[in-house]
Amino acid sequence: MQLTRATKENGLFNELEIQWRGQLAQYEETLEDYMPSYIEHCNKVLIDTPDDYFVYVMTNSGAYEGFLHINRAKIKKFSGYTLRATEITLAPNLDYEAIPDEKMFELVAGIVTELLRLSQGELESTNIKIHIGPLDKPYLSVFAKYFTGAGFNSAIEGNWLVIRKKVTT
Amino acid sequence: MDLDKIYKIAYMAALRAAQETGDAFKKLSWFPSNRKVQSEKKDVA
Repeated sequence: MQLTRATKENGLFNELEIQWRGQLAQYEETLEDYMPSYIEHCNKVLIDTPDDYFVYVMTNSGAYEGFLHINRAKIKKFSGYTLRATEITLAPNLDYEAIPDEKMFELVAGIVTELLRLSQGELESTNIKIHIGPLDKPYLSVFAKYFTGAGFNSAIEGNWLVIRKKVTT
Repeated sequence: MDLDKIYKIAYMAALRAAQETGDAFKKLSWFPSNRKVQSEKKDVA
């Protein structure tokens, strides 16, 4: 799975909408019901093109598995830039079908790894924060406990899963 | 940072978290239908 920035020019979010509308038709649902308010917000970001707020889509061999929003900014109490990932939304076929547990582990691992990849390149940053709500806390707080490596560590801080890269001097 | 290594650590963390929390990962807000259920519960309350 790869995170790719959606822009008005590359039309990725439009393609995602078409693919998801097709999936939702099988369940006699509409995209507007599936993610009310999100479409408008995403399209606004694509039109306004702020320089610190982006929509990224999760692509995997032609499938749009999800999308998320990313803000890159310098924030209080964090050194360097921080990426804040919000609005993580998975595709209808992942939501409505019984998917293997392993697929979910791949998605979780894919999202955090891709955010770290972006933080090394096009969205260079020292920290990554993933917004978590009450539904996410039980699982992601345990995930954070185990997601630690030589160059980074992670922890739950308020409503965020925070990954701090260790800066070598 | 070695991204392949990070992916493996993340995958194992995701797996171990599932082993400790049961089906909590199926209730993530990343699934819009879970958000709907939570919002309906709030409305009822």
